[in-house]
Amino acid sequence: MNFIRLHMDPYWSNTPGCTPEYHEAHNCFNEARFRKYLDEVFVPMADYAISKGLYVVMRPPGVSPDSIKVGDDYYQYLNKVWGIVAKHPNIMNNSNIMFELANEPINILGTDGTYGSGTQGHFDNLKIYFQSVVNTIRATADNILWVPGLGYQSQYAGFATNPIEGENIGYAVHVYPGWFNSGKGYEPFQRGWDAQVQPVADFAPVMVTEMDWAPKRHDKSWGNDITGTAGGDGFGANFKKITDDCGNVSWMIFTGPELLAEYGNPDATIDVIDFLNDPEACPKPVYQWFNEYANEYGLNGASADYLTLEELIVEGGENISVLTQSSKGLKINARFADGHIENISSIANITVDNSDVIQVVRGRIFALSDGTATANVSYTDRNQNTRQLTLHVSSSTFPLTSELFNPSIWEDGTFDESTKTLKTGPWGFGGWEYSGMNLSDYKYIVVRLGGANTAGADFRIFDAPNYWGSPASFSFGNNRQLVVVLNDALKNDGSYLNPENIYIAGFWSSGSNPFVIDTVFLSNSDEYALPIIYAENATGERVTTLTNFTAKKDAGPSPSQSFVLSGGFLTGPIKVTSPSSFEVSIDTLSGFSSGLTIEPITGVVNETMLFVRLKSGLASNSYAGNLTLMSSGAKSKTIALSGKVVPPTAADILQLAESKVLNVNYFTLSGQHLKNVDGMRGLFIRRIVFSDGTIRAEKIYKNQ
Amino acid sequence: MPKLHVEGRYLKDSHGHIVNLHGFGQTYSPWFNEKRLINTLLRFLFIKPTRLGSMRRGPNGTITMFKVVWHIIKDLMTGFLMLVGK
Repeated sequence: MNFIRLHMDPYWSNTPGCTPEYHEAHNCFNEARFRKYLDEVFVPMADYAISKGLYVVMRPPGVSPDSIKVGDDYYQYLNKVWGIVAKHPNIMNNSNIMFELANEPINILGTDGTYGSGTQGHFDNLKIYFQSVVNTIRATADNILWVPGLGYQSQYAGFATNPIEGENIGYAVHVYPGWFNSGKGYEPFQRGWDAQVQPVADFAPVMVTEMDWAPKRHDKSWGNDITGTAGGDGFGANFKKITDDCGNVSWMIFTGPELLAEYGNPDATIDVIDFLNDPEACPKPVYQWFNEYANEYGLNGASADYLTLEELIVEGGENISVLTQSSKGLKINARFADGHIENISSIANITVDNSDVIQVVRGRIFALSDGTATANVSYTDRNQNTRQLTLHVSSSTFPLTSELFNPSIWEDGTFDESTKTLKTGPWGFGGWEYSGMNLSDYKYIVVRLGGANTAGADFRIFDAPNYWGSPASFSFGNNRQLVVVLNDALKNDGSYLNPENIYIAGFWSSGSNPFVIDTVFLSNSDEYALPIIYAENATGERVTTLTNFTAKKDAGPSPSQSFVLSGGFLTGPIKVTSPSSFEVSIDTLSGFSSGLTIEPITGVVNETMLFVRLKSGLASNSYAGNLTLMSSGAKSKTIALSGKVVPPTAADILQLAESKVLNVNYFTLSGQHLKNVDGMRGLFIRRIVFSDGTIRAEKIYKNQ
Repeated sequence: MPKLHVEGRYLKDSHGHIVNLHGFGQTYSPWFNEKRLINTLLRFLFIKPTRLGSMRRGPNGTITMFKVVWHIIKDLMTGFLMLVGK
């Protein structure tokens, strides 16, 4: 036992009688009272703890509101509190006292204008929020600071990209049963930790400032679970395994000290003794583990061998594969003469020969684009011993490695990295998962099988983070290669794939047989081009419907609507075929027919405006059909047309068929809207609306 | 105690040794944690809640009570630390 977390409880800073707006809210904060009891309560308590060999982690009064934003009153409050604490003569630069900057922030206003916790934009603003507090403290004090994450201190991944800047910075985490997928065995817990905490643990120390567990029957813990076994079931033993394996995690037990103080007391109440002696509740195993930790190292200095670097070793080997547009923490271990290992990735000197492909920052590889790069690593110990090594990094959107290819996205499958052989589960799916991969800079995905397609495999891409969403599916047919044209990929639901947000890509198969994947890669080379037809509007957006064509019966065709036709890599003409009630032309007024044939020139049909309209002579009715655009080898395009022919209005009906227009005059009308003209005299315009949508306007004259 | 600092991904002491701290939280006092420990403390003191209230309301009562509480905190922390080997 070598530290205590000291909550500067708001009892000692709130104006007596003031009602907080929520649990431990800051609206009752009284600066004079806080300054008084900082002197009279918290500093004496810290001094006392230090006198007993305990480091102290101070926490500000109260808890964070549900939602925060940069510059809000809680932001002002934290800056005020820490500004006061950091200037206190007994605390300022006291190396035995550390600060946990806030308790359990939940959501923050992100850069996209939404409150939340899950996106980089939320962390970008959280960095601004706490960087301000850090800067306030650093104006006077160099105490070690522990920065909280979002989601009640459970989310940290965004800090890997945008960390708090400065010296002596760590991250404060809360861990309870059920968080980080704990409670479902070791593997899910480890994955949850790896997803949210490991990204910061790769470059900064972590302190768990709340954690406990016990079977629910005791009703004496915040979290309910059992100790279990490391690598197996339960929470406690797996928590210890994960934090020990991580190697840089300090942690504490949040169980009430009034219970802990009864440890070993035979006169304690039966229920407390039961709780404290239950090996499945946290006090008993933690008591044992803390003693083991104390025996491992007691702050008694380091041997010369402990400080002498012998070699650098890359965990997982020096050939590293990274998913493009993702990041991955390096594990470059320094082995010292006494045999102990330190991960020095974040402080090693690392230079990269191809910074367009990868960058390495704080020991984390950021893969920018597909390609390869070499990274030279150098590290020097306190005694100026230097060791070096070289990393070979491959960045790929579709890496065929066991680490990055998931054969079990749906149903349990297997993937053999050495032979690139996938066997999905029954009607299963294996491939890659992304957090919104942007592929819009690329034209094609080229997918090649390394052997016969004996499992009915096809290639699928999803633009939503849900396997049960609608993918764009591509069949190999009798071929071993297929090409996905990214800006023209139609999903199964009939809409187009959005290549700016790809979440899943991979292979579906019946699972009846294994099959070999040769390669999957992105390309902008037109050697992979397929004949393609485009139908767009004047601003370049796809046109898939043209609606509201309207013609009057016996009054000729409807006014036309237009779209822009173009094509590339064509091996034959584009045939345009309109449905029977419509006609199409390349001229706005003439040349309309039921079909057109447009010849390419060297495979290209330049942008050509086509006009579509309802034919003349149709009966009053609604009309719809698909206009099709086809060319040999190209995916057909259809434009859904719809419109109607309406009966003529009264003004269109002439008294005599042979009447001629002799004169035309125009007048303005002004007047008022009348409900009826009963009892009125004069000239009126009457507007009659019929049930079939027809509107008739006529003049009436009333002289009595 | 050795001065601690952050070096790369580790908390280290002034000797250069990695340090992972292990501790406990909360404070052993009725005026912490929304007074949820108050009954435990009152039992310890053999003080009736009504008596506690009058002490807090009286002239200089807060300081007087603070001194009482502070001794309790020290005593209980000492007891706990002895239990965990400090």
